[in-house]
This record gives sequence, C-alpha cells and structure tokens, in this order.
Amino acid sequence: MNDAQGQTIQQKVRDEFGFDDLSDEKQQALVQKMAESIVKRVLVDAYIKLADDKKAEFDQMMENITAQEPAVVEAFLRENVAEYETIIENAIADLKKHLGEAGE
Amino acid sequence: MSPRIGESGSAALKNEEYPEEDKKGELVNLAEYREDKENKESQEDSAENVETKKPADVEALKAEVASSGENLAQAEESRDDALEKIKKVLPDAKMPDNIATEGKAQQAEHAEKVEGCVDAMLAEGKESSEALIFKAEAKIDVNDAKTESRAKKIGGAIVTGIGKVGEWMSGDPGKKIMTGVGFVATAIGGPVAIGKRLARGLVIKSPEIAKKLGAKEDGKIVSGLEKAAKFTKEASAVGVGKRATGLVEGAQAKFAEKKAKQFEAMPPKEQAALLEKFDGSTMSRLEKIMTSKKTAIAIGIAAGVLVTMMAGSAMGSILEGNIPIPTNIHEHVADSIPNEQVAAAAEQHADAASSAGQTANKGSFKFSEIRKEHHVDGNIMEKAREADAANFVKQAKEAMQASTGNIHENVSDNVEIKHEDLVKDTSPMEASKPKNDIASTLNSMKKPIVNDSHFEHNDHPIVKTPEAAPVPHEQVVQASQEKVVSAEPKAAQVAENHAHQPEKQPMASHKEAPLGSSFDARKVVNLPGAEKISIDVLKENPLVAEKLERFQGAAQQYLGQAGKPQIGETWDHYAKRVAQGVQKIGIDPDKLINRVI
Repeated sequence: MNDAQGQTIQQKVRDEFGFDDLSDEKQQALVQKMAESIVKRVLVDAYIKLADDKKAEFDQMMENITAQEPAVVEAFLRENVAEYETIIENAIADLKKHLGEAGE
Repeated sequence: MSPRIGESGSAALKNEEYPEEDKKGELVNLAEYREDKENKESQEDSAENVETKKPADVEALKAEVASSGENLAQAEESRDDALEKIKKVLPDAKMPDNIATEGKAQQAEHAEKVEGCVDAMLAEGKESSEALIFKAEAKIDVNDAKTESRAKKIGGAIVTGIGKVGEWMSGDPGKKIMTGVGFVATAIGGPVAIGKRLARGLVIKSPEIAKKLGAKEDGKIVSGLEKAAKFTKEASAVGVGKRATGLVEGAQAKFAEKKAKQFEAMPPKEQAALLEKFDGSTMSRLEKIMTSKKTAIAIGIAAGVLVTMMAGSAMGSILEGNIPIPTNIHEHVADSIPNEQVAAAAEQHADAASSAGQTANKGSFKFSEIRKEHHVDGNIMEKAREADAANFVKQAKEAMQASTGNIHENVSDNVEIKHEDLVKDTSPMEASKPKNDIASTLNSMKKPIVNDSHFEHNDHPIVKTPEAAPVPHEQVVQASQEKVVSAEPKAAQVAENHAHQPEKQPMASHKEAPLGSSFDARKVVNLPGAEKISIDVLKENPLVAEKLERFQGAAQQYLGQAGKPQIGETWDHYAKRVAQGVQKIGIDPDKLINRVI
C-alpha cells in the first residue's frame, strides 16, 4: 500500500467530502426534525385509536399543546392506547422507510 | 412541421416526405431521408440547448422537490388509508402488487428529483453538509406531509396539535424531549440511528466520493472502520455529557487505533474483501439489531452514548470475530449510565439487544422477503428485524472468515453439546416427576424433544426441535387450563410447548432452569393471597393493576404472545412462567421484576 492509499478511508471521506462541516448544531437540528416527524405521526395514530370520550380529552391537550408536559401526554396515551408501543415503532419504521433509500 | 393554413395534414406530410428532388424523378430512399432529417433535427436541438441551457436553478428544483414530495405523501396516505379500510374486513389483506409497484415508482421519481437537486446544489458550490441536510429534510417532509394529510382527514384539534409540535419541541416543555425521559424522547432512539444512516448513505452514494475511494461501483466500498468511527462521531454530536463524551472518545480512540493498525496491515486484497463484506446492507443490519424492539425506548443523551458504545464495541467485536454483541452491550451499559431513570431504560435497551442478538443466532428466514409485508402487520416487521439480525451475524461471520482466516478457531462458540449430556444434567427429582397427559403423549411418540443442541453464542443452547410431531392444539389448551393452579410448570410441559410452536420458542431448553434466589413475585403484587388469584381478577384491583400491566408488557416484549397470561391463570403461576421464560432466553428474571417495581 503506498502512502496515498495508506491514508485511512475515514480521513479521505472527511477530507474529500467535508463531512466535518456538518456541525453538532446542524446534526442536532436534523435529529430534532426527525423526532418532530415521529412525534406528529405518533400523536395522529394514537388519536385514531382513542375511545371517543378520550378523544375529547386529548383534543383539549392538543389545543394547547405547547403548554403540555411531554410526560403528561405520554402518560395519557400510554394509559388509553393499548397499541401505544406499536404505534411508536411504526412511526419510526415509516420515517426510516422514507429515509431508507438514502442509507441503503 | 405544422400543416400550413388551407392544407390538410396529410398533404403537408406528403410534401415533407417527398421533397423536390423526388418530384424531379430522382430515386429517394424514404427511410434514409427520414433518418437524415431526424439526425439533423437532433443536432439542431442540441445546438439550441447549448445556447439556451442554463445552470439548473436550485431554488426551482427545490420547489419541484417540495411539490413532488407533497404529491407522493398524499398518494401514499391514500394508499395506506385504503389498505387499512380493507384490512378491517380482511385482516390479512396486502397491498396489491400493481399498486405497490406504482407507489415504488412514485418514490423513485421523487428520490430522483431530490438527487437532482443535491447534484445541482453541489455543482453550485453549496457545502456538502447543506446538501445532506436538504436531502434529509426533503425526505422527512414527505413523512410529515403524509401525517398532516392523515390529520386533516380526522380534522379538529389534532390538526392544531401537530401543527405546533415544532414549537412544542423547541419550547420549555419540549427541551425535555431532547434531553430527558419522555414520550418524545422515546421516539428519538430512532432518529439518532436514522441520522447516522442517512449521513452514511450520502457518503456511500455520492459517486464522486465513491470513485475517489476507488469504488468500481458506486456505494460498494466503505470500510467498517470508517462506519464505526462515524457512529461514534455522530452519536457524540447528539449532545452527550462530559462523562459520556469521555467514554465515547475513549472507545473511539482505542477502537480506531487498534483496528486501523489491523486493517492497514492487511494486504490490499484482504482489505478489499473486508470492505466489500461490510457494505451498506451489513451495517444496516447491525443497526437493526440495535434499533429493533425496545431500542425505541432509548433516550436522549443515553441513546447517543449507548448507540455509540454499542456501535464501537460491536464493530470491534465483529472485526475480531467475536460475535456476541449483546454481552458487550451489557458491559458498556453498566459503565455509561448517568442516572437511575436512564439506567432503567438502558437496562431494557441492553436486554432487548441481547435478546435480538440471541435471536440472531437462530438464523432462519430472509429479511427481504418478510419486509415486503411489514405494511400489513407490525409483528411481521418485528420478525423481519429478528431475521435480519440473524442474517447480519451470519454475514459478519463470513466476513471474518474471509478476511482473517481462522479467527473463529479462537472463539469457543461452536462447542457441540450432545443431548445425552444435557439429559445427565436433569435432576433426579425432575426425572421422577409424574408426567402429565401431554408429556405422556410426547413420550408415546418416542420423538426426542431435544435432539441436537449446541452452543452458538452467548452461551445459550440453541435447540432444534423440528421433528417433534405436532400435537393437537386443543390438548395444549386443555393441559394449560388444568395446570393453572400448579405452582411449578413441569419441564416436559415447557418442552412440549416448544415442540408445538418451534417457530415461537426456538431457544428451548429441555429442562427448567432454577429461578434466581432473589426472584420474588411479591415484589410486583404484594397482596395477601394474591398468588392464587387469577390475573384477570387482580387487574380489577387498582392497587396492583398498573404493576401487572407493566409486568405483562415487559413479559410480552421478551416472550411475545407467550408473555400474556392465560385465561384464569393465577398470579403465582404466571409470574413463574414468565420468569422461567425470560430466563431461558438469557434475561435475568430479577431484572424484569425490577423494571416493573
């Protein structure tokens, strides 16, 4: 292996592609956007599964969502939606599916 | 050429097809004439393009991507909605092939637009990071648009709610989302892995980079080293604490130093072979081991640390030929837990990974085949993930053998243990216990329950029971009901259940494993006489209902349907059955209990 080849592929990628430019801040923003996307899906899919009387209660939460503690919303959904874990897993899987071709 | 005014189209065509020379009697080959004409027109078009073609307008392309994404999302939502409605009537219904194909075509078309825009951005001199972010956001936008479309169909406050999720997550309550434990944090275990995957995807898929790396085909060559390092780099960027950062950096440095030396010492051919083996799909499988099942429980900071540690150690282990990834995960979890809440989730995470790893050793069906069906049934996706893990381990082994020769000779993971040896371990008491009806039935069939056990990895025996003849399901149910009051399920019953459902209980052991000395079901339900009360009745008691639900939830996570209480099953029986079940797959029952209390 000559000197040029001796340079690790990792270094090459970093140098050639400039991946280090993707700052922590940008990465966090990206991760947050992904999380938002999943949360939206979870809220909608969980809502569909709620009983009618619980839907009314959840509507009130949604009307003022920015004042809600995530833990409270979670507790409510966990208590009233039997397939809550599955909904989360499906939401993640769906996002992965959309992002899939980027990583495959 | 358009027909002139006052002249029919056919007349105009006739004049065009037969030019003046022909009219003068010269022989004209019509086909040649047309060919010449087409060539000439093509050249004219090219010249015109050169004159008028401008560099692609990135903003216009972005708008196209947005529009295309919107259309794709609506189409996907309509298709999914239709399928869901059909499935209410026909639960096993699948997306018709032609519609699925149409959907894939639309996805491909959108992906092409995204790639086109990325290319234009790079050509325009935009930073690659910006292109990466655009690419990711474009895809996330499709997901969001689909959700919004679904919400609009419902209408009402949910539309308002999801419209404010961004604000929610950036506000005070939302800050907890990114750093703490909560339902949103629950979801973040996924994005962390997705982000890494996406970033890697851009690196792998970029033709420029792939070629610079010496790839013959785009995306073929990316080293395991680089990927593992990328895992650590990106996970650390999620925002880990000082202690966590130290751990990450330590692991990364140690890992990189050791592996880089190993890698660079290899002849180019071996390097190439190794790189080829660790392509995108292999790494993707590693990810799925880590992200399957309860990885969604992984949380904020801890998720970054855990995933990082797992990735580093797992890849290190793989490169060394040591496949039992979950063991390492447990070790790292023990070293990297910042607080009790995180520790609990981390434990669960590690257990899940451990379970997935054990499942991986089973090696059975193909992920790609099952994945097609994941739209239909979440459980199928779960199976697919497990199967995928199996494929991953298999491939990792092959990669090791290909690149490092006899490395597995040093790994005592193929110790053959004969059935006779296992039988010798059975206690005399166990052997002398009276057989129940099903055990007798099995004995009368003279089929060995355990006929070929061997340790693969993780020191858990893998038992093949394919030859056990089926017993009518009714007998199983009947026996189960008869045994509801039994304090201890008999070994034969456990074994025969495995014989009935080998696909659900592949990690069988031919005898009951004794429970840990500290196992005490009363930690979960401590009511006088509760042990003899059925689960259904106990669940009516608000003092213990929640704990029972949690216990059942945890049991089902590990054991699937077998983790559900049977009708009329007493608490004592159920708790012991679950504890023995999880113990068989290598999980400490006390941990399960501790998770619940």
